[in-house]
Amino acid sequence: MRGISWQGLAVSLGALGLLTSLQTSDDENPHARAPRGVSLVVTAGSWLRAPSADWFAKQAKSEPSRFTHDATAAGGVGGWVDSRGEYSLSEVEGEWAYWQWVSPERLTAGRRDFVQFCSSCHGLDGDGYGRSAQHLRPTPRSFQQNKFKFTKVIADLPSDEALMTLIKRGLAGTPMLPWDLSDVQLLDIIQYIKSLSPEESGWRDVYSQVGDPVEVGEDPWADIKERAIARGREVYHGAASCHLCHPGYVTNEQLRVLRKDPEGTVYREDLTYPALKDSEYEVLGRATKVMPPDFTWHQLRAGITTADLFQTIASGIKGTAMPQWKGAIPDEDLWALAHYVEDLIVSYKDQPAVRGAFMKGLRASGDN
Amino acid sequence: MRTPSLAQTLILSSLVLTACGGGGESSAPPPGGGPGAGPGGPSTEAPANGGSGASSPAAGPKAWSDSAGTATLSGSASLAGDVPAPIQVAMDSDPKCVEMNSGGATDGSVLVDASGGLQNVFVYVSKGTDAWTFTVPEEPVILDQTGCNYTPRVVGMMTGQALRVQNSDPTVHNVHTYPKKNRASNVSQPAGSKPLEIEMKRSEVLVAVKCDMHSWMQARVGIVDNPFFAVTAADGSFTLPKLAAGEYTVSAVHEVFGKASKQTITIGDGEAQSISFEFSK
Ligand code: HEC
Ligand code: HEC
Repeated sequence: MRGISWQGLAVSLGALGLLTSLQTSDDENPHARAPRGVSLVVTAGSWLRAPSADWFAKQAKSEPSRFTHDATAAGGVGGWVDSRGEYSLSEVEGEWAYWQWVSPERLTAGRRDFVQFCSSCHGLDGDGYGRSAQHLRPTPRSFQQNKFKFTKVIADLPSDEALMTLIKRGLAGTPMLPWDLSDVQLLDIIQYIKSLSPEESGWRDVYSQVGDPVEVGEDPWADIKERAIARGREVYHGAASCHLCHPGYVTNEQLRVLRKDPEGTVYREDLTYPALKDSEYEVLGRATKVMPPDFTWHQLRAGITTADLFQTIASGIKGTAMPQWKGAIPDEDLWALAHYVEDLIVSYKDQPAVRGAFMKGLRASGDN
Repeated sequence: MRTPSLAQTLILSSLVLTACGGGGESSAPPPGGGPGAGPGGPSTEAPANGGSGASSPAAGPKAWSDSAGTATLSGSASLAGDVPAPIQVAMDSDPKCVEMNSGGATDGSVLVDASGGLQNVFVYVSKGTDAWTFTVPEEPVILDQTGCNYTPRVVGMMTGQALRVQNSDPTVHNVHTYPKKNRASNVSQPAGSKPLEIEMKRSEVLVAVKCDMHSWMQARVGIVDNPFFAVTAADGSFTLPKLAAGEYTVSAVHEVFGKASKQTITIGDGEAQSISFEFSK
């Protein structure tokens, strides 16, 4: 029993011009069911990357009768054996790759919900060109690029939990709203999204790493917020120089002190504005540019609590200019930066008069 | 050698087979490093050293020894047409960079000498080395950031070798790699940071490295499965010393002008040959 895959079907329908006409019908219902004639059945299962050894061990703990650890396997490195065969592992060059078998039934369940709830924006085959996509800014993510911006993970790919948290929370200020679906539904959708990875990349790549969001730990400045903000401002304009992309929130005079530059140093003319940057995200085959946010003006997408900001700054934003800072500067300074950014948001965002006066002050300060 | 031993690979595959024993007929074989790995598995794109070779150990390749390399291939790369005028780079966004380039800075992507010799072309043997396995050097390849530029601009390394990126500048950089077949990364590196080690596990020519804070900063890394690669010097010349006698395909790539047409050579023991690559705008 080998049916044609839905991708194949979509491609051939698309080639005949059928899909486009089907897709453009029913515009008034943003969450319409699959256009007639588009298969919801996924016929082939998929081996996808599972997170890590720790994660594997956790599975084993919850079902000890099912998993055995064979310490002598693979030259003494040791590996897990799953008697039901849903998890597997392989060794490449001394490192373990963990795999999870996702059945066609599960992918079909995921595809059904994906088509119903997500495809209007993310596209029937997850390419980011759904029916409503062309009017949306920012554009919906393509799930064929294996790149995610706001999952707060340092590893190449987010774990199921990381994706689930993100989808439940949504992305503030964008058409990606919070989704109130059951965990079972979401996990099936997530497996389906992962199965859209092209061959040998993303969740099918033996070398890619799957991870959880950056651990938050304890805020070292919890009781001394004012000092954190001052330190954050110092790092932001000093060692980290966030103002090379984001706006600077100081005068030239102050920046010279923070950057330890000599008297008379001149900075970019538009210091109090963000600088447009390249990104790896493509729309219709062309890489897009993204604007680093001005924290006193733009809505941040991945949360604005101190902990959210700590995680975002630590992990960076994949596929964009915003780099990972974890490891590059001490955690203490990451927290200080989070406090400083939070303070900019709390003090100025959505308060046009206060913000206007602040920015005007910077811009008018003699040499700015 | 970092490839798993034959014994490891075999134990592994038996493990994998046991593991999916209960999976039912519909299961595709799991990806894995062992022989007979399914689609999507790693073995179809065996990294360094031609993979495990476990399926046909008798006919497997031999370990390379430098004593076999008695032939020398040299040559040059050139750019047809007029020598392009240097393009000025404005570094105003970071005064620390301006300070280090007090004489002004020019874009380093196209460097041509008066007689047309093209610098920074990555030249490598793309075919003909299957008979050998090569040891991946333990020492990393160094990419430095000095004066708000990468030095050298183009480097080559073997698959599995580490790329060590260091920051010798008094300012911050971010090291953003743009691979297609390897893991991408983008990590910041403030002044005084310790070096970053980046690993590329699959051969790929060329991977871009960029700094988003200083938009003019670019480097290229060529990653190949054998040690026969070179980057052309200021006059466009290169040398691949220590080739074994045999037939090879030699490729050349430039970051702006792309690939030159490949060349096939046959070289004998102790011979010296010369080839040239011509690029056009
Ligand atoms: C109304 C349009 C719309 C719908 C419906 C929608 N999304 Fe999105 N989604 C977006 C947009 C737009 C973005 C990109 C936001 C951005 O870049 O800031 C996005 C981004 C995402 C991301 C990427 C987040 C990241 O970190 O890069 C995921 C995952 C995602 N959506 C999952 C889903 C799932 C699952 C559903 C269905 C349950 C869904 N979306 C439904 C518009 C939509
Ligand atoms: C090389 C350029 C660059 C540098 C340096 C940089 N950023 Fe960013 N940052 C970006 C870009 C680009 C985005 C927007 C990404 C997007 O939305 O697609 C961003 C987004 C952010 C966000 C918003 C995430 C959200 O939830 O919407 C925060 C917070 C942030 N940066 C903090 C920082 C801090 C703090 C520093 C300094 C430690 C810093 N950035 C340095 C480029 C940069």
